[in-house]
Amino acid sequence: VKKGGLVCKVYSHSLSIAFAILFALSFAGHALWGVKAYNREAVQHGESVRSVWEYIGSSQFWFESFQNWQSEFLAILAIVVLSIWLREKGSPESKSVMAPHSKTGG
Amino acid sequence: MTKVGSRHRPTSQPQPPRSRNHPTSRSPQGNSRHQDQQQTGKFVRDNGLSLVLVGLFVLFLVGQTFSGWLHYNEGQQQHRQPQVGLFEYIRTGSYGEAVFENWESEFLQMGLYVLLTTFLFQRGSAESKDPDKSDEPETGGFDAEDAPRG
Repeated sequence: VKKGGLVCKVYSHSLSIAFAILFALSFAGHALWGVKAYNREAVQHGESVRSVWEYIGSSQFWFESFQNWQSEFLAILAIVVLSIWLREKGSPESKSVMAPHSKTGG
Repeated sequence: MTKVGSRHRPTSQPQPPRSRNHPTSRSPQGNSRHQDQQQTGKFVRDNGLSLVLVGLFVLFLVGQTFSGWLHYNEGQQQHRQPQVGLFEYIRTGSYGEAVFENWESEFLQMGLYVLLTTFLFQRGSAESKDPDKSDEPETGGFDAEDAPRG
């Protein structure tokens, strides 16, 4: 029962855990392949190469990250807020067409 | 110049539970300061999801602006071009391009998601309609009988 309890606890958050892992892998991929691309150009231009950690500390890495992150939250914000007043018939993302604006949830 | 990548399946609905009457907020002769606090509390509870999303969006947009500015000036330096000020950077093509290329892909994604889910299914997914329930009775009641009224 104890063990089942732990498994159950993990499973009840498995969706966010999976996304956390995917995020971490993608973040690492961004850094690893990003530094590779950066260093290739640096060599071509006769500039000094960077380590992965230096690259993670660079403005370029955070520019690219923030650029994607801000737009993601804008997109979720848009669906959350616009779905208060606007409808798409038949879409599970939308309230039913006749539902009042005050209704919360699908 | 920068990759636009983005896949984010949204959790589809605004979630704040709709507790209309906060049990403790029923004191009829509560002083107005107390009432203000309760109203603020209710506002935050009712709109917390959007407030946090706005906060994160603004935070990362500001982060993008500053890191993009530094990055831009690094490039300027490497090419022996003059450094630019923050507001000058915001007016450059690279800033606008970086912002709008991502917004474009987000809205394309979200718009298509809304539309595709009207007629495509994924059995078992919380994001999908149930393929066994054809002609969803509860979604889209705007049909013949309701239509003529405006």
